[in-house]
Amino acid sequence: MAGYIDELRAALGEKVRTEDFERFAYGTDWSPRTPKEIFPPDVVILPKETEDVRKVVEIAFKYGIPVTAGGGLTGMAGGAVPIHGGIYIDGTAMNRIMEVDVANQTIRVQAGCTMQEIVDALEPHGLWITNLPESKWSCTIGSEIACDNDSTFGMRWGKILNALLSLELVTGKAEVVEFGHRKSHFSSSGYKVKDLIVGSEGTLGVITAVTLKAEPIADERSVDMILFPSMTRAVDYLNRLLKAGLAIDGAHINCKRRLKFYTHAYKEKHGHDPEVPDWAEALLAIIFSGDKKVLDFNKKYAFKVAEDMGGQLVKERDIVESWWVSKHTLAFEPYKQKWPKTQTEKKFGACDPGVPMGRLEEFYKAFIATAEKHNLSILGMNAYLEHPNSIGFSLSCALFVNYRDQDEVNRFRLYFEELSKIAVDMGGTMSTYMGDTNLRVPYLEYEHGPAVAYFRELKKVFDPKGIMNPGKKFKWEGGGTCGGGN
Amino acid sequence: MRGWELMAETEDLKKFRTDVETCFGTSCNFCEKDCPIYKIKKDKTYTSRGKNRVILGVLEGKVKPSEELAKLFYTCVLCGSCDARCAMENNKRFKEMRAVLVKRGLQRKEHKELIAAIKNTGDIYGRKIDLAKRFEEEGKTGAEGTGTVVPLYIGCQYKDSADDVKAVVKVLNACGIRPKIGDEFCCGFVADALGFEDDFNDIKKKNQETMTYKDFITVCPSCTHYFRTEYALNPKHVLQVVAENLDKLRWKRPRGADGKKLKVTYHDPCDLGRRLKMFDEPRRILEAMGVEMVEMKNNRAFSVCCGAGGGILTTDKELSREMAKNRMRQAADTGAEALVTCCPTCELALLRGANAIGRETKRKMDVIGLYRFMADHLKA
Repeated sequence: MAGYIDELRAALGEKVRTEDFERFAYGTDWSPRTPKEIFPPDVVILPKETEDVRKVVEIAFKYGIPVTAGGGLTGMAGGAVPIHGGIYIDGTAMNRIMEVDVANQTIRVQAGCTMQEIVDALEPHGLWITNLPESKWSCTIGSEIACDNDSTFGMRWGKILNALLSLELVTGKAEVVEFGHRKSHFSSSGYKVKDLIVGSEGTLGVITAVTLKAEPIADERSVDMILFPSMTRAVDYLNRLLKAGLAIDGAHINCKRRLKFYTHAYKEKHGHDPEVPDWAEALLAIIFSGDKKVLDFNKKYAFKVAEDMGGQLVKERDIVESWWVSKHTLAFEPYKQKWPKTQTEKKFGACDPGVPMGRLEEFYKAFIATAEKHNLSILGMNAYLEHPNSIGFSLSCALFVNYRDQDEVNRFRLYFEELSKIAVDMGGTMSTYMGDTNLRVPYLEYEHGPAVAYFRELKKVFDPKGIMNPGKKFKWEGGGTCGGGN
Repeated sequence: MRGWELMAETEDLKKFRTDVETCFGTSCNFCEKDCPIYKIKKDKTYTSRGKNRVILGVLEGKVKPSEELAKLFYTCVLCGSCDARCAMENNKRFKEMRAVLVKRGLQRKEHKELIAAIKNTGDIYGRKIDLAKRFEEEGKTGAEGTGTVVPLYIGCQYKDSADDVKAVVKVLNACGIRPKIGDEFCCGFVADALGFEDDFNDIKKKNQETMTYKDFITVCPSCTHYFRTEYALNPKHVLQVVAENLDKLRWKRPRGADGKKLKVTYHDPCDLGRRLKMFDEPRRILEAMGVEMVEMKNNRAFSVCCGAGGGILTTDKELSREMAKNRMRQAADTGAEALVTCCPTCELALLRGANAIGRETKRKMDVIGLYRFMADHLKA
């Protein structure tokens, strides 16, 4: 079986890594798991060009070897963890900016560019890419598309699909195909196959290049927080602003517990958590941008409506600023970055369902009850508004998980499954930004029923041997020598 | 599991477990952002997170220590950029990991020779230099001037640089200080950085026996850092002395090619900046001199290494040069005419980077040592 590694070496030379220490770092991501659950691939490839990726998949196809592609490895559910070993493609060396078309407001990049690298390339032209998760420094555009990640600015610009014009894919048959509508901002021609690739988690192929729509950078941006007596009231408030005609860049509804996770910088400065009045159960972070006059008007109007609806503007700017540091600027004081300081004993772990708007409070109660049932520490819930200029949210139902304790990690997975199913029972969906990964494989049909059979047929078209990120979305039917985590 | 060879001898690594597990649990990857080595290699194993995972792999019995693995830990400039983006002391851990490798006989041959030379001669280049004789003239200036007599510890890397030493003496004299130059033995930072713990302790002992003074002035950032942290001494760095005496100094304003204020950018050396937190002093001095200061994208605590730290020059010169080129690209992006810095290692590395970039772009930026820059513009 090692013959495929010899062929990889012959084809790709120094881009092939096989020493144990060279592979180990690629065996895990940010998902809750114990150190025993690290699954290093058998070989790591660091491609530079699409042709490198094509050669890798060609050899993998010949031998029936699993191929998992990844970017920053900051995934929250193991999407890019090579649970069946085989070949891991680290796409981050494919980070060339290929073209910025300023007049068309588009950018063509290799898929290994981080979101920050794309922002940096656009900035001199007065443009930016609006899909920016907290992991933007290491999350690549290929990964962003593959897992259909969330964005801080989703309320105005939506998820990545809204910015994606075209992509190049190396399919599981080692064919290089462009899906999309080139530089056109939309199209009614052909099938919208690029949409199918969004959230496909590398199970159909490896994304190697992308064309994205960019937006003009506004002159000014404001971030504020408003307290509300309930999450439902915050949702009603946002709907009211939309009805009034306001454009809102971003809106995040934090439950009271969740705020503390985002105000690390505040705690570092003041020595205690921010104080929130007892009556307030929801904290809405709201982002506007535009010309100063428009921005000032929007804010004034929005704050007046908030007051009318029982909301209260957070006057202590340190609370707002610390949330913004954590959420977007990442400008933590040197040596005081939030994550390592808060994850020494337990780590962040979340479930990401979506539920109908009217059932938010009911679902929040179910979240608390399910976490308590499994004796897990509750971190809190956050509703990210992700539908452009409309109400529609993804949920982050987060816990602190002791990742050194296998029993607790297992209980987290039970919680993850139960909460996913509750969301489906309410008419919602199991996932809104993490994907199915291997975790939801045993119960994918719970949400999708007979549609799963169609999913399988679609996968066969792209990946007839089932070698692309096997074990994700579907159980891997392949045998082989690779160890498994599924 | 796939038949990983279990490592029995992991006692010396157990001290790392809590931190490398925290990194595993965190996985934020912030360390990757400004890592000068990752920027070139684009291989996640070489980031701080990657190296932490490798240590975890050894602890879990899934990665076997080897000479190849040792190379990974020597392919780090110990610049501390990852620490600034973290809340853990990753550089300290990687240095300790080098010590583990040395104890297991996995040190590099060239490093062993280097440390032996330091112990024999008291000099990182294995030279035997009579400093008092070499800097006799500067010594006279110090001795014959007016003001307080203070020992001046030059450091191995400045011993050959008479221009810099002369400049330091001239500036200190202007501050009312008479520096006294005498014999000195290497501070031993290289031994510590390369993981030669026992040898470093020997060097330290030697210095503790022979250094008869407590109040002294240092020229080199690394020596200053080591005397403060490893010797519990409190030397003053030249820039601190100058910054404290700015009101006594008068400058000839540095001019650019267009006759206007010279536009410069300042490179924070890792030891002077991140480790000693001396960010303001050089900037205050440069502003007092009347230059136009422009900052690079990465500055102060988030500065990027010149590419010559951590012993990398002994293991991978090409990688070092590429890092220097990247730093000089940042400097060029500012539109400055010159880059000023205050570390012998940074100055040389960045000069090489500037030359290489100059050949590529046909526009070479000056790299200037701050001591000479000050001395050249000091009014009598």
